[in-house]
Amino acid sequence: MHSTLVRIQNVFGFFTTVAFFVAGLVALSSLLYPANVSVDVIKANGVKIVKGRAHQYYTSKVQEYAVLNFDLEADLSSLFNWNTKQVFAYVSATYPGSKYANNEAVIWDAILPSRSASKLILKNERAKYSINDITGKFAGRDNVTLSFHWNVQPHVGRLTWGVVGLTEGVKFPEVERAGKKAAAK
Amino acid sequence: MDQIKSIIDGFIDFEGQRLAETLTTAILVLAGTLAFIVGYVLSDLKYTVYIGLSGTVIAFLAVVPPWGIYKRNPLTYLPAGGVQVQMVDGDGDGGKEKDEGKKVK
Amino acid sequence: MDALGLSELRHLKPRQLLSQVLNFALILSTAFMLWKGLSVATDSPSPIVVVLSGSMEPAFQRGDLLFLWNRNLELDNPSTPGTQVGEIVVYNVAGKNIPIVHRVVRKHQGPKTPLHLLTKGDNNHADDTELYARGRWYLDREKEVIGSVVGYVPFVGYVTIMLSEHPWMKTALLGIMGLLVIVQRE
Repeated sequence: MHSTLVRIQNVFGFFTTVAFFVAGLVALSSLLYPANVSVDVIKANGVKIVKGRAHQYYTSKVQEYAVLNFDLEADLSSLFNWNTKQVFAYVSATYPGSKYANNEAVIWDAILPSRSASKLILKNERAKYSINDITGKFAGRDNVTLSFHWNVQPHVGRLTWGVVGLTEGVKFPEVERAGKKAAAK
Repeated sequence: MDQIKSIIDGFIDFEGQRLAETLTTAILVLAGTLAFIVGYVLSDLKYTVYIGLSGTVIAFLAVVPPWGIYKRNPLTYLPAGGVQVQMVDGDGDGGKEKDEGKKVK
Repeated sequence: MDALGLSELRHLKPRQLLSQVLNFALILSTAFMLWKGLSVATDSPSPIVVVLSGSMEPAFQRGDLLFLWNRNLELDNPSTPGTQVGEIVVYNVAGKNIPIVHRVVRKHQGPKTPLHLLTKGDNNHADDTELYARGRWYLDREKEVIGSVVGYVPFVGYVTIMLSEHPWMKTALLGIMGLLVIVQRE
């Protein structure tokens, strides 16, 4: 500590040690707030299958798109503590297939920046993302379920995920065509 | 060149160094503890960051510049110039004093 | 030489110099070992990354540090193992060495096919299809993803961004250090 330079180094070094320690404690404190997320309602309302083109600029392949409607009521306020930066909430649809045995796609998401936005009440909400399958066709998949997930992003520390709420399996209908009932597959 | 060196060097005496070290540890640990507690109680990380950073700035300002309090106990050096060296009488001189003129640090 | 105050240079001893070089090399190799050790533990070629773009805001800002884990997180659903939808993965843009940190929005898994993932940045309107290789609409989890984000520290990575985007800062820093060595009395 005899010269200015040494003192600067020492103070800065100790500052980083203290900052590291405090940040570590803040990260650990997240464990004191267990998640208690309740989902009252989650229901798939209607599903439409329409034909469209994927990636218009470089392929003209026609794909089938699924557009879903759902209800959701969830309370995520227990996820917000002093170390929460944001909560990312999303609804995903899971469905089976033949070539690809399990498929999951996010149909709706939201960024919740604070506790005041943490109570979600959605009625007949149209899916934010209409999804197309990797094979291009949906044709009458059975047992399509919706699930509600959350992801807590802390100010410092570990990211956590959770899933809550699973609907009953619904069946994807046939492709909708204006004016006439469509044939399957 | 010497003046610039003095400013950049910022030498302080040993007691001052001890004080500087104690102050650094005390201020930073206090700032860290306070930052965590206040933030936790008020449930807002903003307070933690502000208190922590201000505490660090205070620590820097208190310890880095060579303030006067760090120079209160300067080392007393013997005066430069002639030195009376008492020689052990081994050759029967009767303890004659020798004027050495050595500089002693 | 004394007038310039450079007389200290006369006292440089080669053995001392070599000893200092050895010390420095030891520190460097310890750091390297720690990095590679972490790489093995997480099974990721780059277990710590710095966020470079704003496509995941407001969650991740430029300069934030992310800790990756490339072994499966086994979240949520034990019946569908592997990377889950909603995880945030890091992958390199086709052919380039630019790591992208985005969220998985779709997954397709089959018994005979590799795990296909589609990603999208939270702050982006469209998914990442345009960033993938020509003709590829999905990412191959095994081959292209280098890890999934499990931990987060804000700001501390910003220094690396500044140094890589403003290379003059590196020279300035070295210059200042060199100057201090000369001007210091010892």
